[in-house]
Amino acid sequence: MTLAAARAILPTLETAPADPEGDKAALERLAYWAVRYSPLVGIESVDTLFIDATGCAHLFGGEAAMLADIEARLARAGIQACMAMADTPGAAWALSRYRPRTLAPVGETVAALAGLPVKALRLDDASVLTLGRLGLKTIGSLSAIERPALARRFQGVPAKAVTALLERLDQATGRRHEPIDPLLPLPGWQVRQAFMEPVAHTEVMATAVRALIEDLCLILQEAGQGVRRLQLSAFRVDGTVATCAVGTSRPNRDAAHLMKLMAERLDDIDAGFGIDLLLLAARDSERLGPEQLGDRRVAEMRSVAELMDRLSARLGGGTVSRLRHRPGHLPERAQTLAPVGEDRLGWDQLPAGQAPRPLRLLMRPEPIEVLAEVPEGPPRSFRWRRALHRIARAEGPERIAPEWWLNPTDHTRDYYRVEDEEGVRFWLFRHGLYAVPGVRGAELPQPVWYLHGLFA
Amino acid sequence: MKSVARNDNLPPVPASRPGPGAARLAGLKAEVAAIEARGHRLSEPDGKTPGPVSLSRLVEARPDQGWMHEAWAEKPVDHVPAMAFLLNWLRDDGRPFLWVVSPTAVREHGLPYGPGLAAQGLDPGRFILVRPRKDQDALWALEEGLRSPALSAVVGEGLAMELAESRRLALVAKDHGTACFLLQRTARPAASATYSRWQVRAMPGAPDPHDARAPGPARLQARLVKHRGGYRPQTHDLEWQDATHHFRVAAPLADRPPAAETGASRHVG
Repeated sequence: MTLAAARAILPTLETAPADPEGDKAALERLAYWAVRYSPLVGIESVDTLFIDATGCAHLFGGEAAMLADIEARLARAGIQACMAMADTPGAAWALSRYRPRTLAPVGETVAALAGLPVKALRLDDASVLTLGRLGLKTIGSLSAIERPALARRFQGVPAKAVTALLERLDQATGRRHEPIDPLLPLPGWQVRQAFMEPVAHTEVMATAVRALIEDLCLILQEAGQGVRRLQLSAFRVDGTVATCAVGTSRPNRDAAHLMKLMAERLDDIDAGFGIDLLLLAARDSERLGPEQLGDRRVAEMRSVAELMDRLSARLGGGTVSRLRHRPGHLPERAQTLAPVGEDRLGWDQLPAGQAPRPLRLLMRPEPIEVLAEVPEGPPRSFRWRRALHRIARAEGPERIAPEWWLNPTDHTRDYYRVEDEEGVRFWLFRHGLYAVPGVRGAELPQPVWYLHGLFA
Repeated sequence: MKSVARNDNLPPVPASRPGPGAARLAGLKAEVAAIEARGHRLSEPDGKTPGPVSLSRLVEARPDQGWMHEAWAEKPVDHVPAMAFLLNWLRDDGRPFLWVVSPTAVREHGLPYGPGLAAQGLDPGRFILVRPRKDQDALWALEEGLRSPALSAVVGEGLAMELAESRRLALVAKDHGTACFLLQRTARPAASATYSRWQVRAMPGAPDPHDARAPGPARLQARLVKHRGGYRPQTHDLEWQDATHHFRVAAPLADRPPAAETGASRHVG
């Protein structure tokens, strides 16, 4: 029916333009919300969510209560939803559409599905039509037929369609496993705290978070694990979710330390109208055996790591780093900044016998104005940041070839260590070579001088 | 008035007007001063040129000489010599240290460069580099570092701080027994609670012994401009010694004016 025809029948018809992108985003938001029921939530299609309730139902007082809770909360948010619970995602899909609110008992999936139309197997229209012509209207009649017989009846139908049909049937009955594509990577460990009354005060929340962290640390201790990334999700009463995360530089399960890190981030969580559930998940964890008490070296290493965690939790990522050595000829590539938690800094692999290197390297080489130039030698004087420096002594060149395999048009650098008349020591380089008649072409661009570092 | 100079090194206590309690007060003051001066017996506040022993005592920032020291560069080009001087204080302890540097200092002088540091006998792996965006964060980071038991020292580079803030840092440093070193580049030193302040500037060095045209070992001039332990202002010309990874007094030219030396090295230019 066209819109015009529909309006002719009902002039007061309310219309809204279709917004598939918006629907998708809304479903995704809903999926994040559904993480409160289970860490394993998947978006199946444009209108379906799968929640893996395995091992989660007892938190809500049983399967029936869990279903009722989901439905009640969705209804309060103004969302009409059909849902069902079964042994397999396929069966849950079928029941939610054709027998909403069904709770198929464990092991009785086949019986529960028997009366449903074949369309409930998530088949395309062509397959449904073919099955209808064969008189197979319900899933029960389809699963009653032996496999070879089924294949015989489908002669003339593309083999792919038959395979898809059998796959759907097996997925629904549980003969074939159907994985749920998780929305979020599954946390190794997770603890939760639901509130009877929504919480809006940060202090109350901090107390709850402290208790959660202590719980989690106990679990981690039993498992011999330490957390590297801790994520807190706060579920607000209006159905939105706020999250914050902290990282540690080495596996840790010290509740006091983790709480200090988390406290820096708690302010980021806006409680809105109140929070009714907190989930704390160890997103990344690593093995952490029991530690010897009183070992000074271990204690020092730990307290350095904890200091770096605290600094980067407050100051933001990227502000705390260590100096790391990378093998490389170009001076700016020989050192990189390693993030918190990187232990292999590589300074033991620094080549010995290198020409002197400056104490400070500028973030990028700064062009200098060379006033008295001597071909194939250091300049007599130059101007850097408006100040004139007359060179008293110089050493060089140390020729460093460009990384031609990365940047074929880069020029050779000739580094000079120079000292000006006041005793200031610079590291200069000439980028490129002079043209020499008969040796190098005169078409070469005039080389440019740069200042790259400063010596003591 | 009673004689109060128990320690010959002490400056004489100014004579006060004679009164009933004055002599007693002066005696007590002297006693306190004598106690405070303990540990500085090797000092030469009379202005004599210090020998190598006392100089190393002075140049090394020792715990009994306070917990906060500053290397100050007046001109931008003196910043890196001042840093080299400060590294002296960090060299002996093998534990990591915190290096808090302002964005301005990074822009002006770049980052500490590992290969150069390693050549000076300092393991670059000991650096924990913090580059806060705000000065307030930098002070917080310094304080956190001072409270941590595992660091050998905490260094603040190019940070603007008020007298009260520096006093607070000095107190935290003292309470936790971790030294705090400051590297400042300002035209004029700010009022601060630092225990000692050294003004460092680059000096023209001697030529390389094997190549008269090449720069020899680095030379710098360190001027003690402030010391709460009673040292008089004094100036030392120091020369880098590669064998020991330390600065030593630049002996042969120490007493000669720098100008003459520059003149002597001119012919190689």
